[in-house]
Formats: sequence, C-alpha cells, structure tokens
Amino acid sequence: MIRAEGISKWYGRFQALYDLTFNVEEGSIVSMIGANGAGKSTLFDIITTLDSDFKGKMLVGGHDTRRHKSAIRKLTGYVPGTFSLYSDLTVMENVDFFANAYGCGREALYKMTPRIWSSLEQFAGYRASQLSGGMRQKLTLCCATVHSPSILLLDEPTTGIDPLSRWELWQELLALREQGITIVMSTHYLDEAARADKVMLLDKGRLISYDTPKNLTPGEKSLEDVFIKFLESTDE
Amino acid sequence: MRGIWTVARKELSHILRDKVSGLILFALPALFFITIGFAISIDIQRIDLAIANTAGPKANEVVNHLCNMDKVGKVVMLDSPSQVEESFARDGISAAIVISEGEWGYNVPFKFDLFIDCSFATNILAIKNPINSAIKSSLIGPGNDAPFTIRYLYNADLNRRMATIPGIIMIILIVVSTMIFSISINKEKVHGTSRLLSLTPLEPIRIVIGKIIPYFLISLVHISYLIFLGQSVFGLGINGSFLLYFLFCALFSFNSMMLGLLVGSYCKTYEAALIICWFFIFTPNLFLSGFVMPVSSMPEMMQRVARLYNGYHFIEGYRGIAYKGTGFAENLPYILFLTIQGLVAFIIALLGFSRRYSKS
Amino acid sequence: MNRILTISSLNKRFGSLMAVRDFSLTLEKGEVVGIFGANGAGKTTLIRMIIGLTRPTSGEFIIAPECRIGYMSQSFSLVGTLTVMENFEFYGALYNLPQQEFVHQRDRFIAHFNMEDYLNVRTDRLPAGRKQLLAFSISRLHSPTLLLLDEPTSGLDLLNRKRLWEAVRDAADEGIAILVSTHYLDDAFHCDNMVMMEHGTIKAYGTPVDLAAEAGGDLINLFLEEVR
Repeated sequence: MIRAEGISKWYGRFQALYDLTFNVEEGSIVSMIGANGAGKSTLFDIITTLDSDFKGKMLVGGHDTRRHKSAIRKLTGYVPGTFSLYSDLTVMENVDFFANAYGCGREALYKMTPRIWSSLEQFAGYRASQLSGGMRQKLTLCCATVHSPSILLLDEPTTGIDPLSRWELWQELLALREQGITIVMSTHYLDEAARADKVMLLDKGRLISYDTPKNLTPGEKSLEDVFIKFLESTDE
Repeated sequence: MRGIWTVARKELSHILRDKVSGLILFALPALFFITIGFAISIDIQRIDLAIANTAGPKANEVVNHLCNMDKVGKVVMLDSPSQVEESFARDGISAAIVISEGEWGYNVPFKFDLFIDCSFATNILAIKNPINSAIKSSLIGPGNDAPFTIRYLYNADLNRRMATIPGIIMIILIVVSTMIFSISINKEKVHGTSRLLSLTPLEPIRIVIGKIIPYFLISLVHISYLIFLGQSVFGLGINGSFLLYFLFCALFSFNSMMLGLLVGSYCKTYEAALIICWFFIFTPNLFLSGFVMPVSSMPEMMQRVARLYNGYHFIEGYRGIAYKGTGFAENLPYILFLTIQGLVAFIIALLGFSRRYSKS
Repeated sequence: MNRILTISSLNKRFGSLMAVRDFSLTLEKGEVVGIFGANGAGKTTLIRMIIGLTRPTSGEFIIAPECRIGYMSQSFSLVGTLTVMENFEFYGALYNLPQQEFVHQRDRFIAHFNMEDYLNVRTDRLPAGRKQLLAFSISRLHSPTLLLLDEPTSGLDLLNRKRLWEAVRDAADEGIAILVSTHYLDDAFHCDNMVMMEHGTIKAYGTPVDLAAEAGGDLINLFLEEVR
C-alpha cells in the first residue's frame, strides 16, 4: 500500500533521510520508532504529499506522491504530532468543517471510529480548547477519518495523553486494522510498537531495521532492551 | 544587588538576541524619526496653480510674478474662468486665480478671485499667504490695492473633519483588512491547522477566498457606518457618485487584504506578521498618505515614497470622489494603482502559499 | 530525620470544582513517588500547592525543617535566549548560591550529563532531551532535599526518557525525596511507590509491582476499572 524506493531528503546541506526503501502491506499496522530528530516527521511529510522535494520514489496506494497528490490525499488520513485542529471551534464544528472540505458527510464517524466518536459525542458542543489532551487526539482521529481513508498516518498520536485515552485510541486502531485500513504510526512507546505487525527503527535518517516485533526480539529480550542498546551504541 | 544585576543582564540578552524586540527598540524610533521628522510640516513645498487671465496683457506682470513665486509647481493656463472647477478635478491643482478687469474706486485695473481646494482643511493659509504676497509684490507703488476674493472649494465651512474621515476609514481598513487578516492567515500556519487544511481537496485559492469573505464583509460594515456617521454626525456629504465611492472604499479594503495575505503567508509567527504590518504598512500610511499632513508639504523624496503606498492613493481618490465629485476617469490612476498592487500581492502570496502554508 | 514531606487531607477548590480532594501522602528521604493520572486529575494542582504557587483550601502539608525544594515544570522554566552556561549562572544567582558552591554544582552536572559540547548553545536551540536534562540539573543546583518534577518525560523519546530516569534515580540515591507527576505508565516501574489520582483524589497507592498484580498484570487496568 505504501512503497518507498530510495528516499533521501536534504534540508540545505543537512541530510535528513538516507536512501530509505520499505514496503507497507495493505491492512497492516507499522510502528515507527526512533529518537527525536530521527526523520519520522520528515518521512510523514513525504508520504502525505506535503513535501515533494526529495530524491527517490514514494508510492501511496499505487500513486506517485509527486504526481497524484489529490488522489493520495483522498486515500489518506493524517494525525499530525501537534494538535492541528481549530481550538475555537466546537467538536462538531471541527468535524463538520473537515467533512465539508472533503465533500462528505459524517457517516464515517459511526462506521470507522464508533468507539472514539461515542466518547466524544457528549462533548459535541464543547470548544476544542476545552478538551483534555486525550479528547483532542480522539477528535483529530475522527477528523482524519471522516472521509473514510484507506490509509491512516499518525505522528506520535499517544504522546502526552493519559493512559486511558491511549488505550482507547489503540483499541480503535486495532479495530480499523480489522476493517482493512493500513496504519503507519510513530511512537515512543515500545508496548505500542510491540502490538504492531511490523516495527521500523529509524536513527539519524537511516532505516536500521524493519521487521516483526517477534523477529526483532530474539530470546527473552524485550523491544525496549533491543532498541535502547542500539540507540546507546550509535549515540556514542 | 546580585539578583537585580542578574535579571538585568538576562533582559539585555533578550533584547540583543530577540529580533522582534531589537526591531521595535531600535528600528521603530528610526522609522518615526524619518516619517514624522520629514513628513510633518505645515510648509507647503509646492503649489500647483491654474491661472485664468481675462484682463489681457496688462496683467502679464502679475501673471509672471505668480508663475515665478516661491514654491509654485505646475502652472496651468486656463482660457476662461469657467474652466476653473474642471481644472481642479482634471489637473490636480491646489489653487486657481482668475484675474479679471478691475472695479471702480481702485487704482489697479484688475481684480483677483482666488479659489483654494479646501478638501484638506489645513492647506488654506499655506496656499493663500504666498499667493497674496506674490500679488501684492507685483502691484508696485504705494497704496496700490486691488479687490481680492477667496472662495473655499469643496469645504466652504472649513470643516476639519473632511480631512479626518478618510483617514479614519483608511486606518480602520488597514487594521481589519491588513493586520487582523494577516494574523488570521499566519495563525493557521503557526497552530498547524494549515497542514490538515492543505491535505483536503480544497485548493489554496479556495482557502484564501473563503478566508477573505468574512473580513471583507466586516470591512464593508465599517465603511457603511462611517459613511453614515460622516453624513449625519459630521455633516459631510458625498458630492460624487455614491456607488463609485462605496466601490472605491471596497477596492481599498481588497487591496489591504492582499497585503495582509502576503505578510501572513510569508511570516513565521504572529508577532512577526504584526510587526511587519505595523512598521511597513500602518505607520508609513498614517504619516505619508496625506491624512495627517498634505503630501505636497513633504520633501520631494518623501513624496515619491508616499506615492508607493496604498494609503496615498486611497486618500487622493477619496477626496476626489467624495469632495470634489470627480468620476471614474479622473480617479483611474488611483483605482489602477490599488487594483494592480492588490493583484500583484495576491499572486505572490498564492505562489508561496501552497509551498509554505503546509510547512508549519 | 527521614520524613521529608507529610500531606494530610489536602483539599483545593476552584469555584464549584474540587481539584484536589482529601489527599494524604508521605514522602521519605530518597524515595521516588510517581503521581499518575489523566489530565485534570489534579497532579499539577497538587504540586503547585506544595511549592506555594497556590494556597490549599484546607488540609495541611508539613515539610521537614531546613528542607530546600527544587522544581522542574512542564515547560522546563529555562530562559530560551540564554545559553546553557548563562542559564546556570542566571539560576545560580537567583538562588543566591555562594560562588564556590555554585561552581561545584554546575561543573558536577555539566560533567555528569556531558554538556561540555553545548555550553554556548542557546537553550531554545537544544533538542528536547538535552533541555530536559539541563532543566533537571538546574532544579538540583541549590542542593534541594525535595524535588518536584511535573511531567518531566513528556515528549521525550525512549533513550532520553531512560537518561532522565537514571538521573532521577541517582538523585534519589543521594537521599533526595522526589515527587514526579506523569501520565506515562511506563514511568511507573522507575518509582518506589505510585499514586493513581483521579478527580483530585487517590484511587490507588502502592508499589508498581503490587498495583500491577492487583490490576491483573497491567497497570492500565487501574484506569479501565474506573471506566467500568
């Protein structure tokens, strides 16, 4: 569903991504792990078509991100790393705005994210600024899926939100996977990474490993041990 | 003492390292010095004059004195007094003199009718006095006197509000249409909402137009109540076409918004957008548009700078349409300037919009 | 004297909202207690009361005599336009530390956290992990006996979270009592005891291992139980 071939990216003389090549299968969840500055957000910008200035080829749903932006934008939903909705609009107004911008109704809320929407619906008249971090993230997910995308990209969706909201978000993502949605999310939580079908480790713009959690943790080691060991060795 | 000095040193670091504070603390006084220092003056630098001589060759010496008097700029010779009002509208003169045959009882064979454009009420003395002196100095001989009448055009009551109302409209439209609009554009970028917005099927041009509409409507409300207040409270009527007047104000609002769009889409923070609008649009327009002091009272260099600002063209066009009753043709240069400047700003903003807007 | 902090039936009301309700806790020398809970659970209000930024409505807390309090806020409290070294100097002066003590502490933290290479870098240009460690060092500059850390690991990646927790444990080993508020359940196992707060009150208290066992092996169940 997402195929990257030799993706490299420079910001001036600084190289942010080094020749990344990977494939994300349809209907799978891929977790991206890496230190801050590893290149995760840069890669999301490329996949979501926000950035076309890179070397290599990125295909999303079979479309080239440089040539078929609008087709890809209809297929993908994106939850950015920082809260990116309208704080002074209510929950319902935010949802309606994005539904109208995509030219669709709100049906997807009940079809794709019923669990999340049902916990949000009681706050429909509240402004987004009045919501807790967890609720805002749920709202962002609803707005990102209102147009029924087949690919969902989430940049650290669980950072800074309470444990319960984090759990609820994950239940929804697992349910979306059951519906055949392809999900790529970056996270700092290894327990989340372990629940994914595949884990991608990025470090300083390089793809270090990309495999199932099981293959990445031989013996009794935990993902945390494996990654910390790796990150510490490169940090020196 | 140590604590006080510690905090003071920290503040100094902020001032020196923070570009925005540096700009306000050092560049703003310089800007005020230049604009206020040069712009504010009650001395008229130049008087553009029209002369209609119906007294014949005997008045030539007077005409020469007038053409050579200090500060005279353009001189337009009229064939008859009936052309005076047309000349004000067409030639942009600030005063006209009709020299005609003298009256009985005076020892000088001509009389003078001076017409002054009083749509900028503070102009009057600065125009009347030099002309009066020039006429008197041309009438050689003791006790030489001539009938001399003055007519105040466009503002017979010398109502000072004639100068202030267009200025107030200009300020309000710059605040609403440029400053607040630029913050609105910038806010989306700063808050990150532009990222999600740019991923929807809405193209940049549709986003921009959607954002313009409410601000434009608000600016029209401001224009409407200011017209109402001008007429009912200050007694200032509109001598020209009301429709042209309203559309001209709306055009200025559009132009101001395009400048706001340009600033908002290129600045990285609201503070930067606000400072740029304040420094480079609001303050220069305040002093160089002709609202506070006539542009003709400024040094030549400042007059050229003034003509680059939308405020100057707005005030000139406003005075022409509202006070002098001029039409579309006479105000075409101002209309064209505002339209072209607005469109250029729009195109540059849009070119950078899609590339920059999503990068938050 | 091992007891550093005693909180007894602390309450805080904002209008009709009880932000903290009947909260009681003790903190010993060298103990790390984690306060967990959702946003709005009352964690920040509790910490603000202890450091004196807000007055309790009722209840009391007793801090050991001669106790110095260090605080690290969510936003780090660093002066962005100042460099790392200048931040040390600024806070050293604000704490009115004698020169010798200041130099000793400063150099100790610089060496411990390997800050030598970026002493002249403005803090607003530092990556989050380094900022966090700098903020932690500054909260310890005046050798506090009680440290209050408000969501210190928020936004940090795995490696930097580990580094910060190592720094916290080192501080505890030196005898500093530490209260950490966080909503990262992963942080629980770095704490000696944990408090789960909800709607301003304590829902659970104990060692992370005991609480996890009570919650069927996963601490998240503590939160889910409340939902059910």
